[in-house]
Formats: sequence, C-alpha cells, structure tokens
Amino acid sequence: MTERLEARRLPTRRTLFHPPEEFARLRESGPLSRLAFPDGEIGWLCTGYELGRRILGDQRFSITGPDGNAVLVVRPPFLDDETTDAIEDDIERDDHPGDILSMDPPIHTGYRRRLSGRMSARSVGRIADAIEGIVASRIDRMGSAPQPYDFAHSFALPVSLDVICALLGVTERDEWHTALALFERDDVRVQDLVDAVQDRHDAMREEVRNKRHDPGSSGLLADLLGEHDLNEDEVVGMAELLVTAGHHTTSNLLPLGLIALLTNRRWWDALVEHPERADDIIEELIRYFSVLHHGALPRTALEDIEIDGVAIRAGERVHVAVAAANRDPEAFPDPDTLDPDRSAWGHLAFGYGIHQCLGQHLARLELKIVYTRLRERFPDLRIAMPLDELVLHPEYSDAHGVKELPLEWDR
Amino acid sequence: VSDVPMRLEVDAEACVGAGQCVLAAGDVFDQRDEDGVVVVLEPRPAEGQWDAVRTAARLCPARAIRFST
Repeated sequence: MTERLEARRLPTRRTLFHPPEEFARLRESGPLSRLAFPDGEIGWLCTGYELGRRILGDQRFSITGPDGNAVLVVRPPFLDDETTDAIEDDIERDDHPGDILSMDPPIHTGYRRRLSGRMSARSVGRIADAIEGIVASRIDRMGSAPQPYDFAHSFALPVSLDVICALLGVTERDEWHTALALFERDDVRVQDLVDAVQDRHDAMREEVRNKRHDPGSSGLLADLLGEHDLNEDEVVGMAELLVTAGHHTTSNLLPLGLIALLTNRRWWDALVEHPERADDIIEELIRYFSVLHHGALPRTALEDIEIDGVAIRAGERVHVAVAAANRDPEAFPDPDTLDPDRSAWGHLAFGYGIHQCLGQHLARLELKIVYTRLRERFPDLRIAMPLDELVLHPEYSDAHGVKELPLEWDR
Repeated sequence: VSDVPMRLEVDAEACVGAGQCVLAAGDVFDQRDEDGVVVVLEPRPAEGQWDAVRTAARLCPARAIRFST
C-alpha cells in the first residue's frame, strides 16, 4: 500500500511501439496508483483495463474540474501557471459553447444526439465514395512524387483533413491544423499558439456564416445550422471540436499503423488477400497504438466513490491511462504483440462511457480505405529509414506519432 | 435449443449513439438517423445471435442494453 500512496507524474516516455514501461510496473501493484497533476493536485492513475472501463462508464465522475474546464494531465513545458491563465483569458471562450467534451449529462446528452446520428457507421458510410476519391487522388500524386516520400506530411495529414472537411462540408484550411501542429514541435512560442487558436476560431466562424447564407450547402455543418435552437457560438464550438479531433488522431495513427503493417508484411498482404480480415487488423492497430497516448480526459469525482476497494473522495481526480489499459494482459493476453487474430474489440482507444469517440466509425473506414488502396497500388512499399531513427512527437504532445515517415517503392 | 426466454431491453434515454451495438450485432440493432439512438430490429433474437447480442451489451458505453432471462 505504501507504493500506492507515492504520487508521481504521468509517465510519458514511450517508444514507437510501446507505452511507457512504468505502466506495467504500476499495474502490477494494483490498477490504481497516486498521480501528481501538473497543477500540484494529487489524484489517481488507473492503468488497468476493467477498472478503466468502469471509471469511464461511471457518471458519478465529471469530465471537467469544478470550474467547468478540462483538467490537464500533462502540461507542456512552455506553459506555466501564468501563461495558462493568460491563454484562458486571451481566448474569448470562457464557457466553451458547443464543446461537448466539457459537458456532463443532462446537458451533454442533447448536444451529443445532434451529432451521433450523423456520425453512425451508416451515416459515415454515405461518404465512403468521397473518401475513396480523396484517397485515390492522393495515391496518384504519391505515385509520381520523388522518393523518399514523407507519408506523414504529404499523405496522412492532408487526407485526414480532407476527409473530416468532406464530412462537415467545410473548406479545407490550414487554420484547422496549425494550432495542434504546434504541439508536435519542440519549440513553441506561446503567442503563436494563442494566435493559432484564435485564427482557427475566427476561420470557423467565417465558415459558419458563409454556410448560413448558402442555401445549397450540405454536410454536417449545414445540418447543424438547420437546428434552429443552436446559436452560432455553439455551432462554431461543435465544428471546431469535430474538425480538430477528427484529423489530429487519424493523421497520427495513419503513419503509425502503416509502420506496423510494413514491418508485419503478413498483415499488409492480408489486406488484399483476405479482405474479410481487414476490420480485425484495423481494430488491433487502433488498440496497439492508442494514439491519444496520455489517455482519456481526467475525470473528477462528483461524490465519494468506493472503487476497487479504494475510497475516492468527492472532488478527487482520476485519470485513465488508456494506452496502459489497452496493454493490460488480463484483457489482452500477450498485449505487447500486434496480433489481429486476437479480439481487440472493446479496447479503450476511443474511450468508453458517454463521451466515447463520435468519430470512431469514420476513423475505421478511413484507415481501411487508405491501407487497402495503398497495398493495391504499392505492394512493395517500404520504410526508407531504420525504425530507430524515426523521431516521435514530444512527450507533451497528446498524440503519439512520428514527425515524418519516409517511404520508398519500386515504380 | 434453449427453452429459456431471453429478454432484450434497451434504455433509449441512456443511449449515447456510439453504435457499438450495430457493429457487434447489425441484424439485431440499428440507430436512428436523426439522433443515433438505438432501435431494436429483433426483440427476440435467434439463439445464433445471442453471442453477438451479449457482445453488444458488453461493448455499449452507456450500458443501455440488457439481455437476460
């Protein structure tokens, strides 16, 4: 029990294929340990799968802290207390309208329902042809591009952006990814970050206003504008969340998954030789990389809760380290092996509970189309760099991913 | 063949439209287009569908599916 009481920061030193080693050691002494948050609060860290599922599915936990803001579990070194406050003051969105990831039920429920029908597997299936078109034209460009070809910047990022823009029916703009891309750099000027977030917000407001005056517009954003009880701030907030969450994750997972496929050629080949296995392959890649590697948003207990024999007091925080839970051997035997023959379904990479990822069906479809079409066109695709030279995003970036992925192939 | 009647119940109020049930058992569950809320297509699933329905119940992030005697 003494080990449990020793609070530490969230481990973030991962490798290309594996989450931090500390997770397994912590899990061995129990699925809950103490966690020191960057603002000095001491809460709990969950590294186990079953318990993680229970916590994320338990509505006695709030998704925000008492002030209604998301709780940071990792704070980038360029953000001290003072700059964090300054950013919050500077960005004029104190109440986060439309940001469904800072809402609890019952308010959350109504907002989520405006999106969930439009992001179901069937609804995203309706843009499968559009995704095929985006991927086909990118593959054509790749085929005539010089080698080595940087898949991360030249393929994964633009395709992810184009796909989410197609779903939303918004223009493809640099503003959608500039702010998030800053977090993937080692040197960030706080003012650049503040400006980039404001620019994104202004650009989305402009999109929304243009859509409102265009009766022929279609897509998810146009649908939201048709819901007359949503105000403009709410539509802007929802659309910003969708466009950022919708590309930031996939654009990083696409290169990681491709690395795994190109180093496990049996599964790369299976994409075309056994297409019926594609869904299981994709699901295992999603589990294995758990691309939001810090985990789900930390939860805060709304009341005293006893869970797994541990008393969590009202107001205490619990953070579920999803990357750790997805490597829990109790849930996934031999968890560090990529094995599409296992049943990866039920992993926590999309979270669990009422906030489970709305974009999950889009992500699955997009990954399947990209990998299958790449395998068809470039069967001998290779990574043009030793794996141990691939550079990862900084530890403070919430997305696991590589800075670049150089590829080569025979024409 | 089992004689035990299995009851499938869904809590539409609790449903968050994550669509796990449709992934697991698309013959038994559907989602409404307007709000993603679960629709039961097959209130008395055949025995061959029971495992899929149990998986759907386990995966449901809102624990909105009950499948029991």
